[in-house]
Amino acid sequence: MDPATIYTEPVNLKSIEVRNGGEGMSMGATVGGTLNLKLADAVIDSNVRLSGSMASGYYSAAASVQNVLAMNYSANRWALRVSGVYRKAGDYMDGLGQRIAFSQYEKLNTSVSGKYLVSKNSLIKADFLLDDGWNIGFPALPMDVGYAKARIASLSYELKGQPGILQEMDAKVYANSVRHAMDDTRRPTVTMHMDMPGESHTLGAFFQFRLKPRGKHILKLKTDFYYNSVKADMTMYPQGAAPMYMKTWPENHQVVAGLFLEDGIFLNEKSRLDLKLRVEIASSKLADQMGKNQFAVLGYEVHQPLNRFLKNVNVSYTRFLSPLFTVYVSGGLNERSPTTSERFGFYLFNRMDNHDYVGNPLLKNEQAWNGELNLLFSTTDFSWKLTAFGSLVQHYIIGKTQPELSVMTTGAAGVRAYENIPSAKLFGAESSFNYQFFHQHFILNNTWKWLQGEDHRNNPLPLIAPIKTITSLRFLHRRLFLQAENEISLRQNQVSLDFGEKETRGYTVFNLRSGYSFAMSRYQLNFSAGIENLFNKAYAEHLDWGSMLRPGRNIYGMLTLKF
Amino acid sequence: MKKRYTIVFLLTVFAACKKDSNHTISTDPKEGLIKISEGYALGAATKVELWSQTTITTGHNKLFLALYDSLSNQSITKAGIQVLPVMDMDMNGMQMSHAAPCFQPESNQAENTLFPCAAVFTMPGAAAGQNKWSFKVTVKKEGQNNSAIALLPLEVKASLPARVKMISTADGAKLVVSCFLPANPKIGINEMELTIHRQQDKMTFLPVDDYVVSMTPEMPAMGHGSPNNINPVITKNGRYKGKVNFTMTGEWRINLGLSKAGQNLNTFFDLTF
Repeated sequence: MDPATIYTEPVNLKSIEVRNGGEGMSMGATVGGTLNLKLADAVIDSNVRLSGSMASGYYSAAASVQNVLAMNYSANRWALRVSGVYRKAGDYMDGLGQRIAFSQYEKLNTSVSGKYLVSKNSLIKADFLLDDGWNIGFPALPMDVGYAKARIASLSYELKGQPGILQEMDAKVYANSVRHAMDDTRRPTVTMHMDMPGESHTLGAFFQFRLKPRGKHILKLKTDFYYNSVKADMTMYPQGAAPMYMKTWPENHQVVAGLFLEDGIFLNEKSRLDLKLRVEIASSKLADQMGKNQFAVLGYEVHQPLNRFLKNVNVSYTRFLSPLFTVYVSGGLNERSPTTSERFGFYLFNRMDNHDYVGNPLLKNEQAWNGELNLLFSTTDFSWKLTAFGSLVQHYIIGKTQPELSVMTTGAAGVRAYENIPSAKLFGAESSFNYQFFHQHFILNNTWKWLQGEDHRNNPLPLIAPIKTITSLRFLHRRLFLQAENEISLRQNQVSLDFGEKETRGYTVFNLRSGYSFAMSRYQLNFSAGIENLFNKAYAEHLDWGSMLRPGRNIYGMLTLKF
Repeated sequence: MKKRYTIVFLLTVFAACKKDSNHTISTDPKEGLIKISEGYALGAATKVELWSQTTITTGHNKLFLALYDSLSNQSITKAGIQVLPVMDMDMNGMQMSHAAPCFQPESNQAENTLFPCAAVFTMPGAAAGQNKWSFKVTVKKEGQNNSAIALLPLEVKASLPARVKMISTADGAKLVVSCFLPANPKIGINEMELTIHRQQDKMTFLPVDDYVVSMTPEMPAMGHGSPNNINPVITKNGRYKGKVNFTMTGEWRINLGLSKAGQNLNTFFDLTF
């Protein structure tokens, strides 16, 4: 669970950076890639003291409302940004016109960000994000999330344009804390009431340096450290009997320290080589005796801390073949240690596949050999990026059904334990195409993604989405835009029968969107409206467990005032 | 001057003695035990005391006997001892007695002045009245030819949930099965022990060593069990030892299957922690 990913609202985001394979290793040892969410900063602009936006929207499928407020105040040397988002949704209607009970939610997200210019080249930044969700329905479960509360805070210092060898420095300390609890008290028929609270706390810091270019080399160095502690438990209250208690996440402490080095080598005008290296030490330990005893039941001795040393290496080569055409090749070796849940989860319920999961403290690190080829073609009106990628993952971690273990969570289909299988192959391709025509009045955009996974016996891996393509055509004229979208997902018949996966039918969904902006002297008023799932298609994605149907036709409207 | 030296010398001796006495830890063998009953073995000039770790309830109870010379009050550490729990019932004037399974002291030599033994009480009873339990202790002191009997009345409360079960075999015999766990069961692996006795007659219970026992714990409220349990296997004298695993607190039922020569018997024991 990555708190920042779940608890970030789009209004707080500046950018999202997706890195495949080992490309994102500066963020931490990874095998599958990383998602780097950059939060929106306060903006220092002495010409605009106060700026901001207010938005309000309504969505018909779940009779939901969304209200957004973002404000930026700037003085000469400092600025403060405040934003808030409130969402409330009722139960949505699916494409068959049926109301999906317990799909409601309510959520409030607040963030405060401050910036202070210490000097021309250095600044201090502080961020605080508060995200409270409550009464979040899980329609496919016999219970909902009572509350989910996240607090994320950070303080950073940036130094730029230094004359010496150390040209740039970025230092950050951060802390985040997440608490959540399941709630079944709103359900009409509960066989047994249960409490399932959990929490996770993280404290970390990093220092990042960019050194003065030396010859063809640009060196970047980063060192980071974090401490994480998690715990979760479950108490069940059978009628007329003693309560039943267990630790689903026995208290676990993890300490990770890493060192990252990047060397960008500009070989000549047409080519560039990048070397990345990360080493990481990770130590994790079960801190409570009951958790150790629970694992003794499963046959594991977990008294000693588990220490791991992880190596990540990546080499990439970029060749500018012509002003229009670029080739980018990269390859590397990446490792990741098992997650806390994979190691120490004890009958943790996974709603993705409706199974209880037990951890395996003896799991080996996953080790992946990654390769990627990118072709980029772009002119002023046209760009096309084609990517092919593949990984051979050794000691791939996967949940295997344990018929001899019995389920803890009411309604779960079975128990799975994490295991290393000898190897797995993951490969696929992606395309992203953008074309502007008719004096840039029209923009045609198409993306598709194909991913295939196989285990060491060439059987399909579970939880792999089928080929999906999204095409949109946007018409722009002055302050008006109209957009038609089509989303096609193919049938997924490459399913893991061992895992109990079933084939999922393909679907086609159409969306219409429009927007108009009224410009006034000091304000700008944007109105957007559209229809999602225009033909009220009853559909579910392959990764939606229980094939719970997605929302049917959704008519929405949103008004935004910028000042 | 001489006097002063003497005082210094004495002080040193006292200090040394005090230090020494601190080092010898006096261990009372009966520490943590409860005295259940006492009586006299008439003819052997012996006072017999019965001690236990807990109050006595139906099921298996670990017991300790302490013997004293009734004249000198000196502890007797060597004696041949036979025990038998006896229930005397008065049913509207009709007298009836029966015994219960028990485990004799393993040696005629006391362990730290106590003789450990055990009994499996099959029903609750009082120390006096209509249904009364007594612990019959036959003592033969060293060097004496005759043995003497002490009858120690005791109260046995009903264990809840029951720690002892009486089941009938296909051939009509009666089995007494008792199950006991550590005083404080915990989440994780727990040592567990079973005793199995067959009733031969009212006063005789013989240990049965040749059952194959299978154990499946479950939580009746949820219908789930626990993995990696170790079925109890015979150690000796009708005692079977195994390991039972609890994955969470709450109410558990330990289901037992006893099989021998193609005959299968089932029973269960409940516990809550």
